[in-house]
Amino acid sequence: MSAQSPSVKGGIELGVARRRLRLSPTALLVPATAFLLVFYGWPVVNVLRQSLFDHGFTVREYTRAFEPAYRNILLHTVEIALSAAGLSLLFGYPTAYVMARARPRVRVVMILVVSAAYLSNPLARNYAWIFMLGNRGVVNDTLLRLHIIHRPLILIFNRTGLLVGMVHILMPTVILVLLATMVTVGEEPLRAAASLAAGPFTAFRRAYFPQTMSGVVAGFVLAFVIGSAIFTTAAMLGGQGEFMMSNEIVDQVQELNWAFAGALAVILLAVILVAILVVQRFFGAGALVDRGGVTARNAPVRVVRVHEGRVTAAVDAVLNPCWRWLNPVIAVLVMVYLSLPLLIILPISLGRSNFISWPPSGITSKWYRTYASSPEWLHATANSFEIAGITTLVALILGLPAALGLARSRSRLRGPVLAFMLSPLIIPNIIAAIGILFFFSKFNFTGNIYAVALGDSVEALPLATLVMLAALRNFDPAIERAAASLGAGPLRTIFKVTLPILAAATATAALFAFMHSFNSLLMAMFVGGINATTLSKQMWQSLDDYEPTITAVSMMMIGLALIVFLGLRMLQRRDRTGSLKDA
Amino acid sequence: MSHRVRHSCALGVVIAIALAAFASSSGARPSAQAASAKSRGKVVFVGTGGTTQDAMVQTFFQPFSKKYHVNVDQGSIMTLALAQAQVQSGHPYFDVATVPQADYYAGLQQHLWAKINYKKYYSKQELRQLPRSVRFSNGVGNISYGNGIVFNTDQFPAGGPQPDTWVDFWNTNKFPGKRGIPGCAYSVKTSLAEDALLADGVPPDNLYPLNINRAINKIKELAPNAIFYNSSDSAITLTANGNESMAIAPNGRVKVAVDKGAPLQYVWQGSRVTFDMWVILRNAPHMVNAQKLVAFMSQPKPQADFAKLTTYGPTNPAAFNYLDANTTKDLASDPKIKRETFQKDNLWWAAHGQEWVDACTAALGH
Repeated sequence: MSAQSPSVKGGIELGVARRRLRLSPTALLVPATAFLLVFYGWPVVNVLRQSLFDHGFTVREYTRAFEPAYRNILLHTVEIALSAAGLSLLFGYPTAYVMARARPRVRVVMILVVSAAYLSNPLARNYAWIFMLGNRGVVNDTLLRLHIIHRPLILIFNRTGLLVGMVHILMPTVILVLLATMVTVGEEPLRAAASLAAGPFTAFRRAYFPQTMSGVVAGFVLAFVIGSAIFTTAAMLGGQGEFMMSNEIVDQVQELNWAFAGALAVILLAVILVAILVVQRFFGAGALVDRGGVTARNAPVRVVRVHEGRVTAAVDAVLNPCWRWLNPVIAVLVMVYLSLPLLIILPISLGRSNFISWPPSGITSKWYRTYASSPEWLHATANSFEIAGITTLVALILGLPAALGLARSRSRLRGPVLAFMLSPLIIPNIIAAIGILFFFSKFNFTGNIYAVALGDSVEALPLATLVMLAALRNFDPAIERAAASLGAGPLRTIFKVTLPILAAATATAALFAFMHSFNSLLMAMFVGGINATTLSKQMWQSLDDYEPTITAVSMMMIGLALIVFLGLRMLQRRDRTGSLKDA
Repeated sequence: MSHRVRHSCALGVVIAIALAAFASSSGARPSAQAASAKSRGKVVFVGTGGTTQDAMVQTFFQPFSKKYHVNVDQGSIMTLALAQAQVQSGHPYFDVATVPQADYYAGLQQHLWAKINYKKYYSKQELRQLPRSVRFSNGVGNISYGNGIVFNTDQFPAGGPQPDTWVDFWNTNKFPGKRGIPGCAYSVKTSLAEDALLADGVPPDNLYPLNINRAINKIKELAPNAIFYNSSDSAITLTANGNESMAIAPNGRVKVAVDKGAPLQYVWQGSRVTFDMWVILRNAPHMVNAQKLVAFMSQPKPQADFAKLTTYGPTNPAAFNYLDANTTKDLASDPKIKRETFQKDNLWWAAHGQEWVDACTAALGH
């Protein structure tokens, strides 16, 4: 790479006619950071500072938070989130790998399965797991009937059940992040290695895997962070002692114990950030932002250094022969696992029973009709789409510059900025929701969809940024410079070169932002007031009539998503043939 | 390339139009109340939503609107944090809410609730009817209910042994199956500690002050067979499906499930009985209408109608004049049921709730 002045390297230029304004990458961090400072930092600090000040400075709440009871909950939280994220990565990676290399048609089907899992309502999903894994559930029932076991296995209301439920929530995130990265890597590394007569696994391990490290780290960190904040699932599927910190914080907030809830949240945040730092150190070159500020492609070596030796040779010897079929097998199993809850939710939604029950009897479209004929449900649906749409726009408009800035800036500020941007995902949603509620209430700005969308953006923005950052780490700025040298203006370069190459990542980021908002409950509950009721709030409320309507709504949303998705695919295909004709 | 751009533009426009059409076709939020032609303003209520609030609309809000020509706007979901944010903002958007007594006392400490003006909005006769025990300075007792055992009638059918005491609830040999019990924090609002002590042989009259350690040791006994919940609705669904054979739940919530055909039965014997509160925000925007509404909802007739729909009992005993024996046999405030249940000591809980949660969390990790 030719020596360039640091200011040009990776910089973004915005030009109007001949006057060119050179924006340093660090400046790109400003909009997102400013947004988060106003709509997240300030409101949340106002909640959290109560943990330190009560008629003067005090650490009383922190002393209490370190009592064994709460210390244990903290340890559990980290342990559970780490194992769920680890499992999601272990099985998600081979799946994404198969998806990245599959024929387009197969890939579309697999993406649909992953998205459907992502889309199903968390509450309906929890019931599905209970009906599947309970002592009278589908699994135990089948095994008992086949005389494989003689007494029911305990599969739920313990660590096993909790992990099954959590991995199901986290794995789609991991898979989609990895896929977005793998698409930018392509097949070349593998072909190159194969031409050097490396075994299939050896080729993968040495040439392909290191290239996907940024996706691995981003996927793992996201899963870990989201996992550490999960609470409904922990409450419903976990057993005694599987209580998560976010459950505890929600409980404390409900009793207006701001000070203690704040102390717990601060400690949780600190612990998770330290854990992420350790992960970053461990993965070295795959870190989300690398030390010293050298951009990805300019770094001389961006491979995790593994000492080749007996261990790697042994692993190679074992995995080389079975590598070709191992991944597809894992991918198929993962697809089955991801669709399992739907196999329960769908029959319940068609069942005659007037309360959510398993096994369903009879068949009826009643619950779908209940939804379609209810103004409340329809209104909530419209609200949800509008809120999620606005949230997605905000997340992309602010997230793309932020991701570019994080990937290319050399500033020392990047680390702190990234940590700050991750923190909304770690601090339990209820703290942010409350902070924003108090903040917006001052301006009489609650009870409308814009308030909820701004609140949802606080988490959607970091999600979107992280996904795009992972893909950008594999993106060569030299391509942009090439475009510029061929006379493309800076904006033109971004729209015609940068964005299309990042299309997969941008689409994934948009999906994440949209889905985050679509599924978020607390923001609508607190900030939405009585007017901006969303679909997830409506579902949560209607749990109380025990009717299967929520399962029908869940299925309808999945159906709708599939239609939109297939529609987009078809447009894309027409698009491609169109541009071919152009050529 | 130009094609691609054009197509994505077109797609964007199509999606925008579709969304707009969708939004407008679904229309504005349906008003829960029939707007009155000669409306005299409004009052805004926030509750817990769902079937209970639907019943409130029918029996409290609609008759109130008719009588006073005041619209009642309503929504959910009420939480203490919401109330505090609204009060602190200086211009809350709602006036009246219903809260459990635990929240009443916590909110009282934060000065969230307005004084109830009994002198101005209640007639002499109404005050004679309404017992002092439900007339709090900043709230009025609204509905009286029990927290007790609910069991699955497929697993313990009539004719065979059926659980009817807390000793039975703790006896997993005689009555096998999992038990749905509230987590430590949630148990402050529902019940658990008292139930454990009753199962351990403490007489109902000697429950308070609660022996926290004894209660926790008894709960530890049950813990291996317990499924902790923080919403009684999920416990009721699990019990209806046999994932749990018994749970602790409020009587009115069980009734909703039974009406839908769930194989459940509620046990009054040993239930912990209490009532929730109507409260008005300190700086409520429609204070006069709010006071009127709360006074109206303390009257016997609407309370009786509400009880018929929900089996949540009236706090105004005069309501029994409007109820037949068939309804009262399921009400917490029925004299016969009063004899086999016990009253929750909310003042003890207001003072010791946090102590309980800390001790319980330390012992059970919940």
